[in-house]
Amino acid sequence: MIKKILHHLDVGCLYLKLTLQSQMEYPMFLFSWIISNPMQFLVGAWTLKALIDQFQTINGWNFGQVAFLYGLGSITHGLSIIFFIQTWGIGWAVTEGGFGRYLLRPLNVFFQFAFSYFNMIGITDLIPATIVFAYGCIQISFQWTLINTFKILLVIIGGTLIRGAVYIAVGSIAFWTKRSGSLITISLTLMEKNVMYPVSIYPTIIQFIFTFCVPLAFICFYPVSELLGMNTYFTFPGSLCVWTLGIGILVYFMSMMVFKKGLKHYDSSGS
Amino acid sequence: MITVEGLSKTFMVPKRTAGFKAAVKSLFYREYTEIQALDDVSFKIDEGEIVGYIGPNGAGKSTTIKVMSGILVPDKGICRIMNHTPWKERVLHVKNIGVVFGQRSQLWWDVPVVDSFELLKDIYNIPYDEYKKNVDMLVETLDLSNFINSPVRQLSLGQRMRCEIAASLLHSPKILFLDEPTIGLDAVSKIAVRQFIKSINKEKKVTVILTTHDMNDIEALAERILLIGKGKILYDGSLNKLRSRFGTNKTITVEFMENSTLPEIQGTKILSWLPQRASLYIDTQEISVSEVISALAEQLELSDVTVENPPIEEIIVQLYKEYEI
Repeated sequence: MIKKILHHLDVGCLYLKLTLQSQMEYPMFLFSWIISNPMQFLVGAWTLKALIDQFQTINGWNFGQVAFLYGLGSITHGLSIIFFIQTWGIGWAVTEGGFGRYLLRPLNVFFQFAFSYFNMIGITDLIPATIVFAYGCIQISFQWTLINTFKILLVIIGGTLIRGAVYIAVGSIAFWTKRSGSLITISLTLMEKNVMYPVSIYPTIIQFIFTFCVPLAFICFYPVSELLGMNTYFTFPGSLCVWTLGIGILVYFMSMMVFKKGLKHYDSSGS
Repeated sequence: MITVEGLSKTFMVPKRTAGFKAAVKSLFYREYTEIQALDDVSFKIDEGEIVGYIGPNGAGKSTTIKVMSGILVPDKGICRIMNHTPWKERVLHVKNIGVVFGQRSQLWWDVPVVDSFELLKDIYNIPYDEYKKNVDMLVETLDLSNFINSPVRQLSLGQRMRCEIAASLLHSPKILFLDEPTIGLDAVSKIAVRQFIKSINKEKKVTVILTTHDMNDIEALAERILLIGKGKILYDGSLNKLRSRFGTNKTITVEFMENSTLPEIQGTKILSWLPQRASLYIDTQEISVSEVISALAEQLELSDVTVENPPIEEIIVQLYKEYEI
């Protein structure tokens, strides 16, 4: 098992190396990327300013708390982009017959698909996210105790997994439909909106959907509520940060089942 | 080594008609046609064979290769390759096989060929010594040394194909599937690829299954051919047998000293008639070659005689016609 993980890690590093090498073949592309990096940051900062103007307090959440929530949510967003953005292209890979090559290699197909090309744009998302999160931490004077640090770590892993699972499950629909672009846009907008605001502002029915149907509220709303001592409509026993990780792992495996089922349906177009 | 029994696979393809109106209609209601890509396909292949897999476009060649290499899951049927079922024990199975799709690249487009090889070394966990030995052998026999450090996008098709073949053999597979390996190649590259396939079959005992539309590939390489049409295996046997079954005609070309009239010979047809040179078509079921030659020799003072088999392409066309595929 450890040998298998090391092998995957080894191949993953080589994929990263080849990705960078490929991207350096096109210096102008790299250049435009460096230009777009501060742009991303500016947009992030602008969103922050918009947030300050918009909310003094919202449903009992003050601005510092919302910034904390928004920042943490954005960090998991950036990480999910880095690790799972490839799933947005499942439709494309299906119509181009791209899975054939992965199926021919003695490695996990999803691993190859997800990691054969790293997306560096996710890193630029992480920069403004971290700044907003840090701002929120200072505003509410968040205590970085050992237990809190550990909980934040659980939330980052769990939240990234929940987002990744949604990408994988939605992207896998393309195995049947060959296209999944618009669905991804909808699911992304949902997530973005959900993560920006405390879910408690929504009607109970929406809260119910985000909690029990599509557990997006667990990405950051529930664990942050626990960390900041806020009330939630639905309550759960135990630590909500552990719930985030647990649900993350659960939905991730569920989404992998959808992916595997889709892969069996794959009909390898072209000759 | 390879056993395929009763393999069937159907694809559901949406019926489409051209035009905007039809496209709008298809949004709401879509009809599907069932295409039987494979229909009860069975065959056995032994270790060390080179099998030519032929058939017209859309006959099911690529589908069979994809099932055998574990990319596609068939609807029903058995496929055992070195004691593995490809789609069930994919990871174990793919270590034993090498696959080249002539129309699709397995190399990284923007990085030097040798880096793609290094990646494959890692993916297949090839021990360093074995990797080194294989790369040296492949670089030498496929003559890759001039461009192994160039990015793939800068290679010619022939160079790329040679690299593709090398890439599929790095992990010393026992079986090599080649799907149209000579498509679009010039004569020199074609011959180089054929010679290489022959040599690894002979020296490394690699079993080769190749699909092609170039009958010269088949003639140069395959002892045995499998003909598939509309998803069914129509012929399985040696090339020579196929020849004797369908190639019941020969062409004879004679050169002679002086102008004279050609005798009428039963069972032959004059193809061309020039002063000092003539070509005849012979139906060997009606008259033997030696009878024709002796009849000609009686009338003419022959200086040269050439007897030719019909080109294999002609036999294949005849075969396709007979099976209406």
